[in-house]
Amino acid sequence: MVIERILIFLLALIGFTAIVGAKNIIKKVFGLNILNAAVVLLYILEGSRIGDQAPILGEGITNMVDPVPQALMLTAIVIGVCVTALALALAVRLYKATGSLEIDTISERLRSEH
Amino acid sequence: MSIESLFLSPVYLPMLGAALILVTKHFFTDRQRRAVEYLSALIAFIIPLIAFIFLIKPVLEHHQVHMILGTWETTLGIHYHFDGLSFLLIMINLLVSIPVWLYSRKTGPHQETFTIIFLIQSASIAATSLTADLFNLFVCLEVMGVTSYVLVASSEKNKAILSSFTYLIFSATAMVFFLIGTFGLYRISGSLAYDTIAQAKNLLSGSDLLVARLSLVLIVVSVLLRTAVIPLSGWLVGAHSNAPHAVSALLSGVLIKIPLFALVRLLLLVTGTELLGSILAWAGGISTLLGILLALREHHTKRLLAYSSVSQIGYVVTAYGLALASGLETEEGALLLALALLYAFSHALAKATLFMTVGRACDAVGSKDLHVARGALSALRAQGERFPITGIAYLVAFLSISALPPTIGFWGKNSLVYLSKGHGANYLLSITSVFTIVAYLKLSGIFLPRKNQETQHVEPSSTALTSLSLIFLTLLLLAGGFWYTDLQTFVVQVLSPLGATNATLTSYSALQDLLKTGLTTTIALLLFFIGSKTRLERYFEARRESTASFPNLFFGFALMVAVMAWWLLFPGGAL
Repeated sequence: MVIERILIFLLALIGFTAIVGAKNIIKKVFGLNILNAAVVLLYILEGSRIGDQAPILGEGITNMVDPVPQALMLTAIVIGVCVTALALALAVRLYKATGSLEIDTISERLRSEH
Repeated sequence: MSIESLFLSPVYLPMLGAALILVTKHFFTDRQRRAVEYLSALIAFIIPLIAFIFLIKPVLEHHQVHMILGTWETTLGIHYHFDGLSFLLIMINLLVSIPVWLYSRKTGPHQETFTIIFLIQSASIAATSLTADLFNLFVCLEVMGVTSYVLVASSEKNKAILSSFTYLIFSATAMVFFLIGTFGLYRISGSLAYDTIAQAKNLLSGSDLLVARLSLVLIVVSVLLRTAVIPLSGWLVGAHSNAPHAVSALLSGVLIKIPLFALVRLLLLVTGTELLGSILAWAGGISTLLGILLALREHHTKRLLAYSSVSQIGYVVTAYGLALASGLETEEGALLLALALLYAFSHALAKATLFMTVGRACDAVGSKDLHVARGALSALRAQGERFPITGIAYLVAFLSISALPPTIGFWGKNSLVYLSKGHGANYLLSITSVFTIVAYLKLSGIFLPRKNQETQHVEPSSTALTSLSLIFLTLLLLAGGFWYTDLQTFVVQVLSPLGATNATLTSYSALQDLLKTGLTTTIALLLFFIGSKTRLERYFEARRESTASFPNLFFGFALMVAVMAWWLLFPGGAL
């Protein structure tokens, strides 16, 4: 369990670094997705502490994983997709308006607008 | 009709209204579609408002409903809880949303999708106020967030899109931390319902307790981000100043307060939050002062208003934090929570009116720069406003936000400051009162007559709906001031099952404090005249518009988490 947790932490760190540090707004959106994926994995890992079978009732299935985190993460993934779609739509409009995807260039070019 | 169907109406009916518009979008003619929009707004706002008027009696009798959506069992289903708190929050939303929507008819944004998103947002606000399930709170906050990003971006300005993007990335990242916090609490309690989590947490000790506290901190900070307390407020100014006027009014008025109060339900149940409350009170106090100082530096009207929102929300957060610090089961704590909510209401009315009137005035003058914009009254008259309703509404909102009689803000702010006595943040609040008046005097410049009068001819247009919405808000501001004592008794009474069972109002009367108000006003006037005569203010003025950079935003986030770590390490310590 320890190695998995370290890997998830590293994944989250990669995402977070991209969000904070990347200059390109598309990379920021990617970073958000990576961070989201890390949390999804964290929930799934936690749910599998108590079992190793898929949570579908059937013959001879005894030690199921906790189904609640999986259900929650389905919702979280859907929300993540919505937010990503909206973020990309905004990125397209920013690109159309300024001709750039670099955050610094965008804010510099928009500053003159009133 | 059952009480469940009544209190869920502000969640379901706006969704129904939004669906109606979507369905008819491609079939009807323009005129018919317009009619459908009005019909949907009627369904979404007026019917819930009537339903809630019927609910006043059960709420006053402390009739609470705890229900599980669908027919799920307790551990799996989503818990909804209807009581005085959710009643008041939804009422605030309805009372501000209706005039804002009417206002948007004339001033825009004119896309049809605006009403759809607006209605969905209203539903999410109601759901946030009702939910008693942590993951459902996450979903509601995300819906609320997504709709507000879209609303901000519905402006024609490209700047608004950048603001919306910044807000989206910052807030969506914070919501990931909210999820991590939820994960921590679920791990410990095996449940997502507030009451089960609280029961489990109150039994913990050792490292488990630390994990639970850390999770709670992540949740609180993510919610405070939506509330825009300094240092988490970097996103607000761009988003609220570049959005269309109607959207700014709603976002600044209602949206930043709802998540904060929705969190009460969880914090109420958890023990040992006294120090957390004290930290919140300090954060609120610092926000009030810094917010208004930043507002004073601005000469862009809507940016000034947006910074002032940061300052005003600080009052609410201070009272809220002090309520937590003294414990909601004590009489003082219960009163402070009621006052926080009342002040949130009074600010919602005042700030919505301000954004709407100032937005209208700036449009008429054609500039948002306080150095240039003058003569709004005559410009508005040229546009066909025979009776200066915009000016009068602005004046009343100005009085309310500066805490001058006879408005709701006068009573609200004075009783709030009075009750916060004894805590250090109280001084910050008192100093801020002076600067608030100065900032709004500066803003009032747009209504001064222009020196060299040249009236450009504008096509006069009907302003009936806009006037109606402004009159509605103005009357609410004045009525709230006139019947403030009754209003306060009502709020305390309605909220009382949350905390102390019979919290009574202390015999504080703001009228006795008129001397203090007079003193504050005099100092403010003096400062304002010294400032404008000596042109001293120009030295402090913001040279260029600052846009929030991502490293700064996340530094603020980390700082807030770090401050909260005080609570993790020394949970019993005093501050």
